[in-house]
Amino acid sequence: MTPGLAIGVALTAGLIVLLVGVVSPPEQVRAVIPCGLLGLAGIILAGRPTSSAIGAVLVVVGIALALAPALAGVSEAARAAGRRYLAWMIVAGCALLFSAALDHLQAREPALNLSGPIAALFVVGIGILLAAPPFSLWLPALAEETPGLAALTVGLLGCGAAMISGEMVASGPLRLVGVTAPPGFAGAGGILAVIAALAALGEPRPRRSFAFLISASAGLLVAYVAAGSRGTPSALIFALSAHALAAALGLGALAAARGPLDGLIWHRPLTGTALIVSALGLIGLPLTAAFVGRTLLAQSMLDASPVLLIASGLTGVIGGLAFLRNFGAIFARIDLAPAAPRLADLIALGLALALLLRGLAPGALRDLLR
Amino acid sequence: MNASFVLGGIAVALVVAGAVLASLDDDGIALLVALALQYGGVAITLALQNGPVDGLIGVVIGLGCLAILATAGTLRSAADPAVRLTAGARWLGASITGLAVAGAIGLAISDPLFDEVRTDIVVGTLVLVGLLFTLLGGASRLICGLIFISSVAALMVRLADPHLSPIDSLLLALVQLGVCIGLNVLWSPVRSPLAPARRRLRRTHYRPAPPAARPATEPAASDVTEAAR
Repeated sequence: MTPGLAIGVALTAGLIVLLVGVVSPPEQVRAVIPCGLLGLAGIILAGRPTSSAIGAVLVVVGIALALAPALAGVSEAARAAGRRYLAWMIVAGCALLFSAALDHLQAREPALNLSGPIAALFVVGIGILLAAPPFSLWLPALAEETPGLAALTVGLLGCGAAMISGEMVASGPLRLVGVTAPPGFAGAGGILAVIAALAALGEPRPRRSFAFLISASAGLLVAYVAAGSRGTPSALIFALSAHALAAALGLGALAAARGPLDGLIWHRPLTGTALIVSALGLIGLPLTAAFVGRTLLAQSMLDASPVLLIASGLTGVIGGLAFLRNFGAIFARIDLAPAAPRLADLIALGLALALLLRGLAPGALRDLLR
Repeated sequence: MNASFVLGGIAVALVVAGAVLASLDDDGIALLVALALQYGGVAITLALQNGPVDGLIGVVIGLGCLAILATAGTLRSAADPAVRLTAGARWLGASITGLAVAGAIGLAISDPLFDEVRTDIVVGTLVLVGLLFTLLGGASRLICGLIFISSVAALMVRLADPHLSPIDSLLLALVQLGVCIGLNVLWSPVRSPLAPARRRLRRTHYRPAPPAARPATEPAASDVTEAAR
């Protein structure tokens, strides 16, 4: 992984930690800040030049485990969601470790022919880290109870998945994905993404609905990876980190809103704008970095998997309807006067601008990091 | 019959015994013994494949994990008396564990990954039993299953890459301990998910506290009713 890409992912993680630290309520700050800083240190450690695929996986699993204690003292419902989260993360870490270990064995003894299990375990592990369906059962409850912690979790794990993919592109299992992943993986991923978008449409609670939107977007990314449309390594890392930033920004904006969302765009325009920018990225509409990342991954899919392209379009349409249904209230006129901008609003706006800038001029940022 | 053959057999026996014990009993002490047996089997496998130093590292990590789980009482909390497994559920678990062991032996013979079949049996048993435990349900089985899976993942990494860098070795140990700490924190008895049920249970067994004395200035509801009459 090139130093520029590693710095870009680490910067993204730093911005996410900053946002979550500011938007978290006072009773959670003591739990969030140490976990966030530990996770940020882990992301930097995973991107070090001498890191190996196994090392990167171990660091990201460590980050996932370090975030678990923060969920313990919030509420009983968050604790129950935390248990599900921990169980899934242990399974994800083990799947990725198995994938990397089998890859080592395969390199030592080519006669073993382990390509299929290596690719399948890698896709499953990354899918769980990104909260792609059906591995995202922990996310909706967490987003409902503690959106700030959910933002931290989704953001850091997304950045961690980008780091792991970066390490695995050159010499690890990722070179085998697409060539040897079971043929149904990509189609199943696309169908599951559509189902997650339908769940977002049917879910009446906005925060849970937003969690399903994140799952749908993650499901599409994982399906693209499974289908082998990873394009260049930088495209994959760009797409994963942009998804992480969009997801964390949306959940962070929901945490900053702290209450009913009616009239949010008039009462707290900066937070409302950040929420809309985040949703644009997750739905897959233009202007944001998440759209550019998804397009880069989807370019080679035109001939390879038309079913996945149809699923991608359907997910976008259904996700857009879900956002309008559950978040249309943010445009409602209310009597409250516009609130004075807070630090959380300004940081959320800054992140939204970063997401837009990376979407409008992706080359400029890449040149800057080089 | 050489020593490595005997030790390999002992490793397989320890892991299988640990899996069967964990499926038969959900008492805290029994689960700790089951986990100790599987950590012993893993350490012996590591010693046979990679050398005594790796085996010693496996023993130290296993002891650390057991100490974390024993001192915080995670398994005691998970095996709450209010939700103990029924006899039928235990025998179902044991029979499924038996099937998983048979499947692991079959896989080890048909598709061996390592030079030693016994190593394949240890890895296959822990993977299959761990996955089945996470699917079967019940807090104690879930915790045991997750520990089995994390333990075998660490074993696989060590077996696949005997020359793991020191920092990666340290991270591997920290991750194994982190799994136990995470399970401790989220399943600790202080804030167990069963706490409300336990509280309800206590309420039925203990006499409720007497109501607080009402203020002298405020008439009681019964007095008001009497006055109205």
